[in-house]
Amino acid sequence: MQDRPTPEELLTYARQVLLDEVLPDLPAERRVTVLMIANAMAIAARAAAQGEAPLRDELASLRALYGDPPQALPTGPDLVAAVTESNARLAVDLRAGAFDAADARGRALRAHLLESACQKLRESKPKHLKAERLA
Amino acid sequence: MTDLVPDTDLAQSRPALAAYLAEASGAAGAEIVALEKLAGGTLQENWHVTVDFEGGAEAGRRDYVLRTNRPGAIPDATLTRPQEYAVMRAAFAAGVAVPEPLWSRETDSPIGRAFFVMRYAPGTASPHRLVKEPDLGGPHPALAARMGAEAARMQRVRPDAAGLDFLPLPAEGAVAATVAELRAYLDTRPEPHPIIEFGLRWLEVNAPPPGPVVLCHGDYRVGNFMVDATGLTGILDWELASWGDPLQDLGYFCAKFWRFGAADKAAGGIADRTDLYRGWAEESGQPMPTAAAMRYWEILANIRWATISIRQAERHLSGREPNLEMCLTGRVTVEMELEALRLIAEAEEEGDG
Repeated sequence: MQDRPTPEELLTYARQVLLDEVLPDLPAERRVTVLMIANAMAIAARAAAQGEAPLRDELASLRALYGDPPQALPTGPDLVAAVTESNARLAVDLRAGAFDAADARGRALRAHLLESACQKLRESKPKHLKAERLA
Repeated sequence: MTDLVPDTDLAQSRPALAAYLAEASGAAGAEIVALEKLAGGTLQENWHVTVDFEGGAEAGRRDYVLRTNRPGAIPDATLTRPQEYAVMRAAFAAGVAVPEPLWSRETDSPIGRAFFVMRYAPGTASPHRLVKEPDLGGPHPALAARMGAEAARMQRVRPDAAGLDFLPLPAEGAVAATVAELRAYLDTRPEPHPIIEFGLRWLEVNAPPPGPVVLCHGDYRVGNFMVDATGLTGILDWELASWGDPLQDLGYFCAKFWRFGAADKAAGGIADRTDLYRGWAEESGQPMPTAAAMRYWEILANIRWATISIRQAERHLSGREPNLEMCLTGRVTVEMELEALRLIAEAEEEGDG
């Protein structure tokens, strides 16, 4: 097992040092770049903290949407591959109109897509979720 | 044009450019007295050029903007400089507040790459300033109405206009053309985008009857309007122009991602939607567009820009054009996706269509 600090701890503290100790000395035209770097680090830190949980939730939701029988969720690269494959299937079906009907399945689809957008924002920009009153 | 060597800072090109400008304007001579690259532009460069002309149509000291491709930028599926020039000529002839495009050169260019020259529009295009300074460019409800009126004038340019044959005609309507174009792009990507696919299908199923086919700017939003104390001085950045629906640019103008932090002012963060629509309706003689109709075009704007943001991130991710801002754009896509989902839910609740 890896010694501490965890990836999240590393990114979070390195970002803090960047903002507290490097940023104040920079000329105005360089500040934007450092703020973008800090933003990238914050996203990566949140991703590290969340681990595989969001992908597992997404796969479970996709399987429920298709009425697949419950089965064990994969981990690691297999999990990423399974979510990608499931989303590719969904994308093809959406284009073909398989979810056009305004029935329970159509409602479940909308709820699934909304949750997947919210999950992406929890990692990429949680502030936006608050602004949209979704957090 | 592969034989041309781009001159990245235009400094060595000054004499050749001056000679070209003298010839183009019928002057006995021309001297470039100032040459400065303007800020911004990921794919294009804009240079402020001040020229002393000896005689000819432009005699005296004049200011221009030279617009050219940024060296090293990977060409995108947007208009070339000569095409953009042709679109601006057509808009200018229709009375649109566009900086007058004067001369265009594609081959044997004095700067080694295609460019065109337009009149310099004074002021600022900064969206952040416009959103924060309520009187910049005059009272903002009137400014937004003017932007609506300019759109109506632009829309008098129709597919029978001379010189615009390179713009593909949307044979089955503007929506079908946009949906097909965005799907074709998604098909080039290895990763799936279910929310965008959902949005495209929704747009396809709920499409309004095709309207007249008119010239659309394609990036008609605060940030592409130059303003000064006198008001609007010029509409910029025409490289995304296409034939489309009259309400397309108005919906895009009001999309949430172009409000620059002032989300409560739907018209570009500067005014109410109705201010923009009023100017358009008065100039076009059309009735005010309905909330339901405009919601549809805002959904389309969000789905379209979500796709374009994926494309921008791809410029970085491909490794061909490393750029932190474009890299982070990939994580902004979801904001447009969420807004599209929200508006679709609203449309379904309100029973639009």
